Amino acid sequence: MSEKPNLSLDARLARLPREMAPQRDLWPEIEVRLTHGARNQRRRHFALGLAAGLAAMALALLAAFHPRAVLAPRADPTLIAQTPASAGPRDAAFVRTQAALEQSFTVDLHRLPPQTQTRVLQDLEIIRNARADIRSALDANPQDPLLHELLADTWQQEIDFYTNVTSTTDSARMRWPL
Amino acid sequence: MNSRRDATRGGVRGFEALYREHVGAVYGLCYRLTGQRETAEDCTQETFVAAWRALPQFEARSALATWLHRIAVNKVIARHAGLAAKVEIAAADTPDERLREAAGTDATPPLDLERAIATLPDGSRHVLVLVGIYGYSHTEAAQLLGIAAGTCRAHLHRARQLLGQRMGLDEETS
Repeated sequence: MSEKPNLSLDARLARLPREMAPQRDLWPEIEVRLTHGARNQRRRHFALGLAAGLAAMALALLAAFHPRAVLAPRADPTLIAQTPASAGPRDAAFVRTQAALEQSFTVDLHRLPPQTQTRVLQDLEIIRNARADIRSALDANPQDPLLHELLADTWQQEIDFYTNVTSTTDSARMRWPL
Repeated sequence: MNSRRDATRGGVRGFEALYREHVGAVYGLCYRLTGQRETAEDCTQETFVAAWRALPQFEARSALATWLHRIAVNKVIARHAGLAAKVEIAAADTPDERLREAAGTDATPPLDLERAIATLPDGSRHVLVLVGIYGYSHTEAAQLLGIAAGTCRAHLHRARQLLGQRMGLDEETS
């Protein structure tokens, strides 16, 4: 026994060194785990970015070409009226443009055959659902620049969508006056 | 908090400096809590990996060393709980067997303090290390270990009794 025999137990405990050197260097294994973990995290971020990019591209294509038979018909024609324009960006000029386009879209929509109306509304619903999903993601992660970019994209896609529908009905009117 | 700032800015290289600065304290705590070199090494590594991941959330309100201690205690307790759930403690791992192993004979002569601490039952050893060596209060130790303060006191009393017996101390010195 190296301790003095008459020293109290508490005193002996307090004299023990708090630091001890491990018998081997533990850092190399820690470093491997840290760098491996960082690489996996970068891969996850890349995959997330790629998935978001593909989703945005798919939305843009949908809005541009109005593909037939995307979903089973279930859209409600009152959908447009239920979604307030105030849910969009705060820029006044943008809001005015969006409201005007939406108004003429609503008028043009009723000139289309009922089956086409349903399909157009389905496409519009897809864009709005995507925006709702992105908004939910932003609630959880409000500083994410990618999500903000995607949200802005959905507004632009909706504007493009209205414009496309209007120009389609205009050209149809020119060919076959309604 | 310079080492923390360097670690955050300097990536893995910066974190290595933090590791070098604190590994002695973390390993010392893990070794005394577990009483086993290899387990202490594993817990030390897990502590620094967890610290690296949680570093962005570290708040400068507490000292870095205290924060690392807390992580280390959690790692030891989690490992202990995991092992207890998986297997019943083998006969060779019971305190009495550890005592004989440490002493090298069945006659169990008096042990030095470090080896005597390593032979204590887990609960008593954890409390003795935190309160007796590292100076935590009963409340702090109980919080770290996830036990009641009364249980903490009972463990310390038991640890002191066992240490006294195993080190051949009389009533006055123990």
